[in-house]
Amino acid sequence: MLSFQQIIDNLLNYWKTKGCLQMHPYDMEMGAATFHPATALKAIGKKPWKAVYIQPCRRPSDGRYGKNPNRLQHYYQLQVLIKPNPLNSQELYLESLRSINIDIKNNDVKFIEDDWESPTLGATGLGWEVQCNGMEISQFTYFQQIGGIDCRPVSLELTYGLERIAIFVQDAKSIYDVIMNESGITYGDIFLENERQMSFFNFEFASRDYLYKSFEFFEKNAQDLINKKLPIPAYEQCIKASHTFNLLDSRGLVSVSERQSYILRIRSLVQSCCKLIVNNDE
Amino acid sequence: MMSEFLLEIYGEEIPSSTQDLLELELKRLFEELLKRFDIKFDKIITMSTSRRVVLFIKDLPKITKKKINLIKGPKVNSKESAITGFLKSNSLKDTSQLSKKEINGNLYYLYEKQSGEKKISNLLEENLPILLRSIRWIKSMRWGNHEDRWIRPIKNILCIFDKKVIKFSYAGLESCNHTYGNYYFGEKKFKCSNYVTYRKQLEKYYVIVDRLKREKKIKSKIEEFCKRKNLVLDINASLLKRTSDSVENPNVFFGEFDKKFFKLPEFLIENIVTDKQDFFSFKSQNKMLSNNFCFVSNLNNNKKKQLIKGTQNVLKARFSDASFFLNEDQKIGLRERNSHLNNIIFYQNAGNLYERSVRISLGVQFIYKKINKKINFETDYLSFSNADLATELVNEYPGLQGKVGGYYAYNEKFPKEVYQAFSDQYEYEYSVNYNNFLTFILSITQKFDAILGYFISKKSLKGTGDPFGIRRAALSIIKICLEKKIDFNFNELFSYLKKIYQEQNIQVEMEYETLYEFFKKRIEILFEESGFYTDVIRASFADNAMNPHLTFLKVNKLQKFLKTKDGISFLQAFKRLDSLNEECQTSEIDENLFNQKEEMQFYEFLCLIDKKLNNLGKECLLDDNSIVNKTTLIINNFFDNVIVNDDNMELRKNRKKLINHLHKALKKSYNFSFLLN
Repeated sequence: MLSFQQIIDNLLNYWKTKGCLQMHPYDMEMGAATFHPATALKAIGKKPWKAVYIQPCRRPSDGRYGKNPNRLQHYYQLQVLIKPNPLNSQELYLESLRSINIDIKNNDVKFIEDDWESPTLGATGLGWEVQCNGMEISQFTYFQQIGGIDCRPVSLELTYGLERIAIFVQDAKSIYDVIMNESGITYGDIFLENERQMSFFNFEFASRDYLYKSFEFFEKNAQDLINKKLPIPAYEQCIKASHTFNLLDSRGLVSVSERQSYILRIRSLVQSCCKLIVNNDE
Repeated sequence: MMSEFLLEIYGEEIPSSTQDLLELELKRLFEELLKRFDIKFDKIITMSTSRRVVLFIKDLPKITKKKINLIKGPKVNSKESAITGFLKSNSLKDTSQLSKKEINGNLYYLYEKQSGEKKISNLLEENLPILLRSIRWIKSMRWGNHEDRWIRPIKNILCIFDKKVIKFSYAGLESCNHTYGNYYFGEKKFKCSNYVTYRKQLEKYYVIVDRLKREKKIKSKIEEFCKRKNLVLDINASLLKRTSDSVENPNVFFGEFDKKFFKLPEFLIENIVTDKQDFFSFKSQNKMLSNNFCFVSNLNNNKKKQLIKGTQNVLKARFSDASFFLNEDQKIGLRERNSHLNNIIFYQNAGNLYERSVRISLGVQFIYKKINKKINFETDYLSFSNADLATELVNEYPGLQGKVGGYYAYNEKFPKEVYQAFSDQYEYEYSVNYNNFLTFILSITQKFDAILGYFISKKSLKGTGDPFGIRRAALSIIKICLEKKIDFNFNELFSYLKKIYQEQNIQVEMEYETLYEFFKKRIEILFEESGFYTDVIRASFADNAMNPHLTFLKVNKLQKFLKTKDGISFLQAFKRLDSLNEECQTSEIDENLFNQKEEMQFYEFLCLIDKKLNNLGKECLLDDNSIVNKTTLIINNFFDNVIVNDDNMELRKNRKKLINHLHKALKKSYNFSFLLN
């Protein structure tokens, strides 16, 4: 049985043999590995790019105080970005699954339509949610736009939900039972208490006033930096604003209708960053 | 001899929602192509699966017919340069290659251009890439470095005519005479030169290319299961299509979920099973939800255990998650939960959701009063219509807002009328048989307040999309008013809610005009879809009121009236009135200046109609046929006998005032000027 660590190693090694550069996690809180500049900012422009990396992600509203065996507010994604997309993208992906003992001959691997969109990044792509025996294990996307800019050439983005894959591969009942390495230490040993405490923070104690104020602050900072033609730090402010918005959301402080306004505010800043980056490249 | 044409485009998974659209589009383009070249064909057959789209034409000729095109040249006596130019453009040497023909008394050169026979194979080779590039996509994508588009990347193009490959390139691929079997069974490559072998090989390699056959296979397995287990399944056609389109070789697998999850409300279980997972759910003979479910897969039965176990685990995980939310929600009741709405922003600068729920409650009561309906329950219940927006379940399943509120209200023993209204308030429209009146009023009030809130916060509406859903909300309000015959003026609700917003210390800078224009546009859209003319709709907006039900009646009457003799005569008379109408500074008409009896008649009629139109209430000018015909008569008499532009400026001015006054008076009923273009 593959441990969590082996799953990561196998996938990283597989993609490294396909020419991907191993990048490292970005040192900021983000909701998805797509926010990492190695994806968001590299998928625009003409230069070829191949990267694989692990990114810890935070989605505050997905916390369940450690009580739900399948939901986490902090988890790991393994991300692959290849530009331009290889002609045999789907085969490469399925081959990568074989490296972690998931074979399509024995499992019902389905590609379910999922026209992916990151509203805050102004990114769209066409592709699928990949399900294995009904469980979503990856997102498979051909990027069409980032920050409102057409991707030419098109990039392939693969996002593996590592915890879900581990549950499946190890046939575990709960994410907390997943074996991390040969010592037998479990995911729960390391993260259960973290999940419990962080859920309290995300749902009950994150300061409402601080969140409102800091969102405005990050937004203003990003705009100032865009005006100074510094898109990279400006983009970092967008990542911060996005995470702050996610916390506002998990605290239940934003109505469904006003959510859209927050998203559009972040998106417009990301679009400005991307435009500056494309202009600099040209 | 006739030949077969077969085209198959094979690639990565094509979403179900686009498979049949793609078939239709390919068929349309092929029909156009064949008609353009005058090629006879019997029938075009199209098919699709999750990985391929197929087009087949059984009997096509091998060559096109000879054709003669007559090209009209210059007149015979034209300048030399014009004749030389015509010869040159048709690659001709001299006029001996032309004939002459008299057209409308002039003699013209005529060139009988013969287009020779052309091989259909050549024609297909030239036209297929153009045809594929001209597909009208609703959604499509690029991939790699080229600009050609498809729904998802394509991997192979099989194209055969008369047993030979039609060679062309598209999306970086060269067409060929081979294709592949089911991807999940080794994707066996095979060659084929005709349709019969193609179908046989596909079946051999686990591909059922015919959608109906796939659906039939799924259906029969499900029916067999229902019979065996004494269960009922009202097969949802769109789910059946979706599942059959997601595979090439459907097999049905049956599983069960733990009965302990029956503690979840039925709508939630069904939402998870059907909408989230695309599984079929069953009911017992007495219509109780069963814990059986089934799903469709490409794989064969020998993998049954593993598949069923996996999917049962997934359902278990989803149900556990839903149970978590349900447990969290049930720690406090709706009344306490309502206060949590205070912490949720509605729109920036438009207050919070608690304030919104107060407005909705008062708005509903206001409408009931205005339309003389009695409320048969404690109005206090209405304050909780939005309480579910502070629940964990709605936070996780936003699409279930309303349903969750209705469920919790039912648990807390709210009256049936109320919990049903909470549950159904977000529907876009309601069936003919649905008759909870409170639902309609709650639905239009909350949607109207959502639109107001948007304009208060965002000031204006930009772009063509509807990210905040307010265009859809307005359309829904109009539809409900029309279908349920709710006769209500929304300008009154606007003033009432505006006052409450201000009492809640929310600044309202928007004017009624903004909202009126917004609604007018939506009414136009809906009415045009129902077959009314734009001019007729616009003419009916004359009175500045926002009552979709009355506007509909007015539009309907006007459109019918304009088709009658009286209508045609009236419009002709109005045209005379309109042509001399000018805005006058003062409308005081001096009777002492009248020197023709038609002026006095006109004036007396004006006083009469003015009074009538001011007191119309909910009636319409067109309801009274006699007054309409009299208007026609009076206008015609006036213009037949009175010279408006008299040399005496005093007289002229007074007559213009008469015209303007009647024009304005009629406008209170309809703005007939819109009908004159």
